[in-house]
Amino acid sequence: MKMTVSYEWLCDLVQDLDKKSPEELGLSLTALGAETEEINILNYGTTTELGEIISIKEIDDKLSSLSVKTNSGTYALISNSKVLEIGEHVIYAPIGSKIFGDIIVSSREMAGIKTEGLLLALENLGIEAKSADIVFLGKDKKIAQDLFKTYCGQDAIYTLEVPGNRADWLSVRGLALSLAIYHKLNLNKKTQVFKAQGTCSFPIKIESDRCFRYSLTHIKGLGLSLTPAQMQKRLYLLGMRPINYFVDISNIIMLEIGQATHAFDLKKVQGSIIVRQAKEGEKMVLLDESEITLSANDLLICDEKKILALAGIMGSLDSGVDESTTEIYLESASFSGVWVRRSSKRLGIKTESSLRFEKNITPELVELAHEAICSAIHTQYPNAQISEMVDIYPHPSEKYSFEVSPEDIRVYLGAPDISNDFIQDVIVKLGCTCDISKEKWLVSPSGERRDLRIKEDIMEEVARFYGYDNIPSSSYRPSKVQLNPEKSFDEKIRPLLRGMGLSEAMTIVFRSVEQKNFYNLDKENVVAILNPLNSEWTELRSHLFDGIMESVKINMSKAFEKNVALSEIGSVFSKEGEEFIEEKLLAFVIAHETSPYEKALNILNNILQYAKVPNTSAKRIDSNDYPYLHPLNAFEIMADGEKLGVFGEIHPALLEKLDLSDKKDFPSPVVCELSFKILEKYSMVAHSLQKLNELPPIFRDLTLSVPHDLLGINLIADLKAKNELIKDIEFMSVFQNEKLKEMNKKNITLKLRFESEEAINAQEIDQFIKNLIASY
Amino acid sequence: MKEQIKSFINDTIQKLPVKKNESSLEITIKDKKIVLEFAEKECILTFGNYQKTISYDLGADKFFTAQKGLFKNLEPLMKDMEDKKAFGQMLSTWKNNVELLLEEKEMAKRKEALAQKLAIGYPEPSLGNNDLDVGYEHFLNKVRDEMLSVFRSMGYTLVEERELEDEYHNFEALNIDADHPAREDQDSFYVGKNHLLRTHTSSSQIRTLEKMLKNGGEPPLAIVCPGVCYRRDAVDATHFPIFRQMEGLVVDKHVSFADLKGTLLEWAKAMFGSDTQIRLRPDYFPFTEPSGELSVSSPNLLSGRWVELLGCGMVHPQVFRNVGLDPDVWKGFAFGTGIERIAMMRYGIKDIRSFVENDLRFLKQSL
Repeated sequence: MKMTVSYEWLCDLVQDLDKKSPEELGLSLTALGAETEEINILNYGTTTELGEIISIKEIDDKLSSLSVKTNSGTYALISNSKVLEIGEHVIYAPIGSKIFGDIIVSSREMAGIKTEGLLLALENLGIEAKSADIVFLGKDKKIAQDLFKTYCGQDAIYTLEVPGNRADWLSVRGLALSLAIYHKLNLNKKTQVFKAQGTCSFPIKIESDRCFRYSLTHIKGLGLSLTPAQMQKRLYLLGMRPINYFVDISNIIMLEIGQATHAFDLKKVQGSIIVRQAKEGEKMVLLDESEITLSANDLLICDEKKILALAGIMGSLDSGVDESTTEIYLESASFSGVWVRRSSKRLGIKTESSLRFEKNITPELVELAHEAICSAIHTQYPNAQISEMVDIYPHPSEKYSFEVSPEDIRVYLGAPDISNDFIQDVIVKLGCTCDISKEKWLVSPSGERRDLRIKEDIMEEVARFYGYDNIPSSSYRPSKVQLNPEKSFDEKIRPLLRGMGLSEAMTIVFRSVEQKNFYNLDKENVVAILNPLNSEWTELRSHLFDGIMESVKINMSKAFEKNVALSEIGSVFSKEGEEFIEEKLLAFVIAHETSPYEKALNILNNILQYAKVPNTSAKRIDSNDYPYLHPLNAFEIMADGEKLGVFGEIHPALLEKLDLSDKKDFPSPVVCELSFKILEKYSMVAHSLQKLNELPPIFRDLTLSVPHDLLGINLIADLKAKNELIKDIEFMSVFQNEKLKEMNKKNITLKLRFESEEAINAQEIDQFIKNLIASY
Repeated sequence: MKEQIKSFINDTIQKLPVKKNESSLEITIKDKKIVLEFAEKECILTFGNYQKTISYDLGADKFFTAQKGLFKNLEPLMKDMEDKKAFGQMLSTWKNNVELLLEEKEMAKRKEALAQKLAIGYPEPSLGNNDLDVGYEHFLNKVRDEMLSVFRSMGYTLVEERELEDEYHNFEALNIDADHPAREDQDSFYVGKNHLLRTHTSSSQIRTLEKMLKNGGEPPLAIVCPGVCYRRDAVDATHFPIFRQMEGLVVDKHVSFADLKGTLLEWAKAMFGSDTQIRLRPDYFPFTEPSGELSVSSPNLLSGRWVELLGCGMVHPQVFRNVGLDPDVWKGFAFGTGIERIAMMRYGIKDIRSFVENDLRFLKQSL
């Protein structure tokens, strides 16, 4: 989560922190784990000057020429401001000086006058992005000098990435505390300056357990007042705008302490405060005048008549303070972070307040924020009457404590040089109590740090402040190594696939209904994504080939590559009843101008051999199972009777729709999908080495007239089973003429290789061949 | 053929006791005479009453050497010779001469054939149709393999786990409770009430430890688990909802944060060069405590800029308890890194979407 913080504010909270440069603090914050993503250094105290307007002359209805006197001289300038007054102090930047955004002030000629510098607006000082009006510092020179220092003095704005568990770092104070510990400095003590008078007797009803703590303070004797410039600048720098004093002080305290508070105008609150969950469909109008419809999970602050605020997120339009406000109820409360987050997300409203509540800021801050605001109000309105705080806190947050010895910490971190004193110092400065009377120290973390619950949390804090960089590095080797000398099948087969011309693809796991329908894939067992990212990706793939085909198309259309051979090893998903099935496949696709089928077949055979798949056979496909394949030029591959996968040509009807090539006779791509698990299983089987026969083999060529439907791979398997001397059968050719076709036959010519350890009787082989021919 | 044979004979009978006539040859050994007469189609051998014909059809070589050739027909005459020695000498010299001649001819023939081969080349020897294509590695596989081999060399074992997970293994067991923001719907892809596509490879930690304990095993253990993960990120040049991570987990009795640091330093140097530096910053993960984020700087990677590469930490005691290990006995560290990110930085790939297009022009550059 993002957090912004300013250098000046941090330095204000820690003694002597301003002795470190803004850059150094940026590095410290990063080292502590609040990563400084951006740092904008502001320092215009020496490049700009305090000036006083000494003459004004209107040029036309838009522009005026003026003279501004500074310590270094008097300068001619031009302004389009409507509110120029003689005696007003301004911030003057001379020619050649650098202002925010690395802009160098240059001379311009307007209406015949050559400008001798620039009067600055907040945007030129880097304080606010879109504030182009000249800053006026008033007519009182003393006050103007202070304001000049405020606006132009050294500052820096840090954009931090804060870890999700550090709600305390969503406050300037939390970051300041960490910096103080890291740099061994002390926090500036802030003391309560006001005295509470009387009690706040306004009735409060809490009707939801999503409100953890609710407090109210009655303050009267207020009126219109101006937010001090320093506060305004801090608000601007941290991305907020000054609105009125009550809103501003509430925001200032929220930024400093992390606890959002809310001021209700007493005149506008009727009867009692009720904290309740909304009724489904209830409506409210927010401060920003937008109307929202609530759900039963939203938490509201109401009075007897109306909704005052969407708890933790934003006030309602008609409950806030305005110019006429003299009495307020100051609310400081704590709400369930989860529910604030859910409401904020559902309604699409994110505020500085909701961001903090949703990170589970601790209810302990309620009192702290109350004290800080009341102190500030007391300073601003010395005559204001501030009541005691009425505080409803039914279930104070759990206190944790644990034992840990300094030696545990050193061993766990592997940092023997961390001293007991250092550890104790960190623990105490974090606001924890620490009883060191026994060997195991008893640590009770501060309620403000709800992320500290177990001893490992304290170990992390010790490491953090000791510096991760200062912890030594040691070389660990597993004390027990799993013997795993076999490469995984994945690593074995991939080089082979590449060697056969298949490049490795990685395709998208998601599918659309259209994609699935295109290939007429199974509709029953598809795994649907319940919350898809878009309408293209609504299901999980049940095949790989269709994804690879997308890449084939990209290669043909974008890369103008006609010959594409891709393979992928990946998971496919299906559902059987309530059970999800995840299966790894090895797939490849070959799209080629010339004989892709033979190429693919060779690759398949090599894979089967390489994986040592035994007893391979094939089965003609049922087109109902594989509607995307050519009904005849395809087959299922079986390994020892078990289905291993499918191989075949894309259905010609689909080929047309795929529009792969301009060529009319472009052959259908060939796809193959194999079960990775089965291949892996066979490849892992250890075989004992077979003896190489010394005697020469005997070869016999053989042509068999077989039924048209018989698949050659099965014929070969049959023949091999018939004679154990057959070591190999090579396919030579297939022949079919009209006559054979009529007879529903084809002639397959094979080369048989016979081998044996002993001399083979050639006559027996010839007899075997004769018998074979006779049997087909 | 007749002329060729005659010329063979002429070339091989010099210095032999042979008299040459117009169409015959007389071999005289002492007082015995053998006549070879060159008829139209054959040669007629006459020795007293003995007569044999030798066909020219045998060819120039075979005329002399074949079973029915000249020499085989001369040999039996030995028994009728008085001066067997002289006959034998004559015969063997002649045979030798023929052999030499034949060899010479053969040599010449071969030489000529070779000369012919050398004289005629392919019209275009430097160009051809490349039918033997090579396939290319995917960048992500390449990075994965490299990381795997680094960790394997350090003694780690490869484990691959499922992508479709249940909430328990993806979240709860990793100490990410139901209220954690990471568990909001919009961050993960759900396929059932409790089932989702894993959002990180950290779920492999739980699966592996559970399996090991179920099978009666116990730590120490050191594994790396690469795999595909899914998050509901909108697609842009640096985000894709499908990506790859590699998780590492060590469980042992005495491991420390310093061991984690050292391990990552070794890994970084092996991956990015020996002059690589690492920087570890505190971070937060629910399943590690302390947690850290590793940045590396290497002259070989984005000219030495510090880049965040990896999240890591000491295994949270609750994670150990969740799988049934006693955190007072067992300690561990874990780390996880994104493979796409490393590949993109290393190869200067600007758009993460190129990884799923599989454009061959792109893949060819993975070498």
